[in-house]
Amino acid sequence: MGKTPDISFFGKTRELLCLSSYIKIVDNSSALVENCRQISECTEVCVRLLTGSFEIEFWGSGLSLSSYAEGCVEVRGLIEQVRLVSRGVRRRDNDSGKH
Amino acid sequence: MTLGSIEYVITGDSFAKLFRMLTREGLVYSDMKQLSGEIRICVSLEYCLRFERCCKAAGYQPKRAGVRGILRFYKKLTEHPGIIFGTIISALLIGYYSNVILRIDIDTADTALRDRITDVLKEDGFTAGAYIPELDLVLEERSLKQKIDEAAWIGISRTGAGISVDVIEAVEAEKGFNVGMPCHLVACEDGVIEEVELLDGQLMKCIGSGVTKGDIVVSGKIVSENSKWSADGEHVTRKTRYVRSIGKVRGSFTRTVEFEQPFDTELKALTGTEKKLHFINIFSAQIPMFAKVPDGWYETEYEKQDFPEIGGFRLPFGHTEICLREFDMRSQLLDEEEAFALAEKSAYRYEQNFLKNYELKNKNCRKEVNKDSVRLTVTYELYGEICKESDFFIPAYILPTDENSQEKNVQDSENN
Repeated sequence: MGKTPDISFFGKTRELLCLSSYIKIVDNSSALVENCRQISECTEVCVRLLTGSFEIEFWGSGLSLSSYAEGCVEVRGLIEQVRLVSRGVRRRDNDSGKH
Repeated sequence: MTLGSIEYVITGDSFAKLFRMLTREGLVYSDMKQLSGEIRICVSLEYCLRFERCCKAAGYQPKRAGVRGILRFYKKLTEHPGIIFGTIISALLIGYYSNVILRIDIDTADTALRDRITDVLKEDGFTAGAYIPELDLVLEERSLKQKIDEAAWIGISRTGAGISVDVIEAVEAEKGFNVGMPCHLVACEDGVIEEVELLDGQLMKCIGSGVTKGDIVVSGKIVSENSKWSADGEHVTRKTRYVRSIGKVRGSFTRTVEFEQPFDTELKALTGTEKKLHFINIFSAQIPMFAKVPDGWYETEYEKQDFPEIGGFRLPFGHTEICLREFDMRSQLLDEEEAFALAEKSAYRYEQNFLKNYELKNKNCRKEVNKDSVRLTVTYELYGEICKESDFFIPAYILPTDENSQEKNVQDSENN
């Protein structure tokens, strides 16, 4: 994971414009993700979502996805693990894999 | 998801396009699950057509697998048409009965006044079964006020099962404070004074003397004279006091009353037809079990109420049966005897109503037969009060300037 600078112009702008992804987790039963850009995968054991700067992975069992508003999704089920991967790192890993 | 949702099953190898489409279109969905080779998704009814169109555009074939939420209730409802039919019938009945007079409540303890109000309401079409929106309650209030003098104020309001008539009875206003105000006792009959009980005032006629209507028997103006002799001669001082005449003057008098009865008259005759009206009572509502109120004139023979009881407690629903007898006002030609019998009945009613306060000493009847009617002339010899109070006004110029002296005079006269 790359080092986050102390003062980041883009980071501050995203924060001011509310473009950061907000994740609210209730116990291990549900998680609400705001500013979701894309759904990558939605199976019973893994839900993968893309936000502005992260790829969020929910691992568990009996997972399902609901959406009641634009850019906002809710993951329900038994959540065991939440993984956040920076999209930059993901892109670099993919590129190095290709080469 | 207010109207419910539809569950879809979409089969395919890759669902990346579907996920992109869902995010791009901003569709509302829930419980999206990817199983082996298929996706199950619930889409709100508002978005289902849009969802199907987008799926087809993306190359998917969505299949409806079931319904959820209120849609399931609607689907079940269609399987039971009786419930729908019953609901419609109930709604129609509620709509009808909430606009129809089922019950008329008249808020008065006076039965005569209640009957009078009921009669006026009936005349104006305010009967059980009348359609309320066609009736003008304000105009009816005015009509009742005009026709019924016994009521000081009448208000009609709509209640759940009909109309309610609030009545404020006219209470005769007190004449005001007149104790101490001067008055005479004036003869109200032509007769002879036989007994006098006088508490205040100056008696102008003695026992045994005859009086005619309007004569002052006891005067409220008392004039007293004092004379003093001096070297100059007699000095007479005259003092006038005004008092309230209090007392009872009884005497004998005669009163002549004529009762005329025409031969051609209208009599109430029963036609022999009886009608029974049935009502179902539920709480305060009285629901008629007939479509039309019978035409004609009817009088109530009896009213029977059947309310079941449990342990002495009367349940709030039951059945009421009203039996009506039809009558007709028929023109009838009376013979002489029948006409005199009716005239005597009228005389009896007059005695009961107007001569109860007097002692009836003697009664002479004279019968007369005319061309179209009979006439009964009754001369009553009565004994009783023949005087009544009559206030009089004192001209301002007579009144003494000192008010205290006037008050003192009046006070003195009351104490005497």
